[in-house]
Amino acid sequence: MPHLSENNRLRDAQLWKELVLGSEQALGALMHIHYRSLVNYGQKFIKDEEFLKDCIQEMFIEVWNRRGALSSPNNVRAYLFTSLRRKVYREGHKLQLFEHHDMADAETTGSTDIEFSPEWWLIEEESLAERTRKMGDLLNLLPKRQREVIYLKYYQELSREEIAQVLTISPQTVSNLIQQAFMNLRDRIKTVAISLCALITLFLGY
Amino acid sequence: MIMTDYRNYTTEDLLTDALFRAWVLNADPEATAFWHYWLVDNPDRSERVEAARALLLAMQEKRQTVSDEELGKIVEATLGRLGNADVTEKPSSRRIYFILSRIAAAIVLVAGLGWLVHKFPGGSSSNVISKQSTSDEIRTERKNNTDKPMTVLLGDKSTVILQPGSQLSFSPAMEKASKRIVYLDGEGFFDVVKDPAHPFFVYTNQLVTRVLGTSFRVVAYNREKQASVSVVTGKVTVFAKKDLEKTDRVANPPASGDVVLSPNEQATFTQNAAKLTKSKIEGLVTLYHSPEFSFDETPVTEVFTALEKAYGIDIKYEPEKIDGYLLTATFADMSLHDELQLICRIIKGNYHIEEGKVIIETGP
Repeated sequence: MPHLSENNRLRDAQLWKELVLGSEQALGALMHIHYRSLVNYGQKFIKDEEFLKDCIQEMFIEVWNRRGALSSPNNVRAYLFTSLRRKVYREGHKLQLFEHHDMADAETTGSTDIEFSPEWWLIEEESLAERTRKMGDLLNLLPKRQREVIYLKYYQELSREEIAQVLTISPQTVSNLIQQAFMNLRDRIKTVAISLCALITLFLGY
Repeated sequence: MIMTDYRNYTTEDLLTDALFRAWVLNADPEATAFWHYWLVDNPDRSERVEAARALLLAMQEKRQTVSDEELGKIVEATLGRLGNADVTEKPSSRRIYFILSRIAAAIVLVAGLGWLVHKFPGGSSSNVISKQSTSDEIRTERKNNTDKPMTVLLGDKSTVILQPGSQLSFSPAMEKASKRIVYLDGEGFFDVVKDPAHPFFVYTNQLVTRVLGTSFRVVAYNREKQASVSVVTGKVTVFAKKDLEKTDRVANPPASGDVVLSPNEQATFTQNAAKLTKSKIEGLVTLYHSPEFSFDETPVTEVFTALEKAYGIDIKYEPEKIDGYLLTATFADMSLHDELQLICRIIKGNYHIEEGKVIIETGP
């Protein structure tokens, strides 16, 4: 499997160094690179897009303001993901966007209640739209830890180590969660109607 | 070049394959073409491919919502705010500031356009007026016949404070159109909800003011001998209506004849020159300020009553649905839209504008 991620990591680390030295351009570059991923990630636990975008902007500004005091993260991308989640919950709490148990959860376990709603997706092809919706339902049936790990790995393409950092768990736990997720998906798929039999072949390959 | 043998690819391999992702997530034309032909050649693998595609799409949820242009603007805006560290130091003002960061405020003064009607070569007022009145579309007209400012709510949640004797007209379904257009005769303070995909236009007799989302003031009194447009914060584009007719200015970026105004800038028409000239102006911020509220564990129903009174508007809601919600907040320099949005977050509801009334929607 091609490994672009190492290159990306080095590029981010370089930009971070320039940022610390006071380069606004480096901050802009990091925003350009990571903004969309952060929006997609944030949308998984907060639906208010304007609020989310404000959080992302504030987060980058805070990074800038505190650049002298921050130590270089060994992984910028993972650092940004972690910061965003903390930011969204902190600001959201002030505006009472979250239930109390959500908050406690996010703080103690470092896990957020990720939920997929692919019905937002307007897909022209009817069959693909249906399949996507069902896949979303299946993903949502997973325990939330497994759900988040699958999302970070297969959508955001974070490495095992990066995921471990974002969720503050060990890399081995990440591997276990991924395995459990696929086992769960396979079991659930068996109980779902024939239209989804395709998914069985999908996960047998794993 | 070595061709990847995708026939042996598992779902996991596909999910992390760059060419596969370029097709599914970015609709890259080359990748799309590749996979289209590959599927024709390998029909026995289509289920696997389609399933992997659905899995990625389910996680993406919706198509990219941030365009390159928008992202560029966001980055620019963020870099523009660097160095304002003092703002983040004050926790008490922070929440309000946080919300305010969304409001790109601008105040625009367009004064005394009437006389220009005869001064502009090629432009004639009767022409313009007949053009408006022969239009097939149905327009909602609001005239302020009182002696106090009146708040008009538009379908896109923008608000206009209309001064006595002023009149505003707009299409009842303006929020569904690709451009949001209102026509003003008189003086109004606009607080426009940001929506870059649907630019907002204020038409007066001779001038068109274009904004994406901001608050600004337009004054167009016929008796005045001078016309001016002034901005406090944010950016607006002003151009003569005759230019609008020449080319499709609505779709195009600012052109040479346009005046793009930044904070504390003013564009002026003088009697001798039929063009806009730019100058500096100070002190406009204080011209308009929104009402201030301070709530301390106040029931939301009472908050609504306070807003109704202050803005002179109607708010419809189901009292039993919001029973028990208390609000503690200070609203200062906030638009009605932001105030309503904040309250809706707390009561986990939503709102929309219907026939000039605020309708609060709450869940079951």
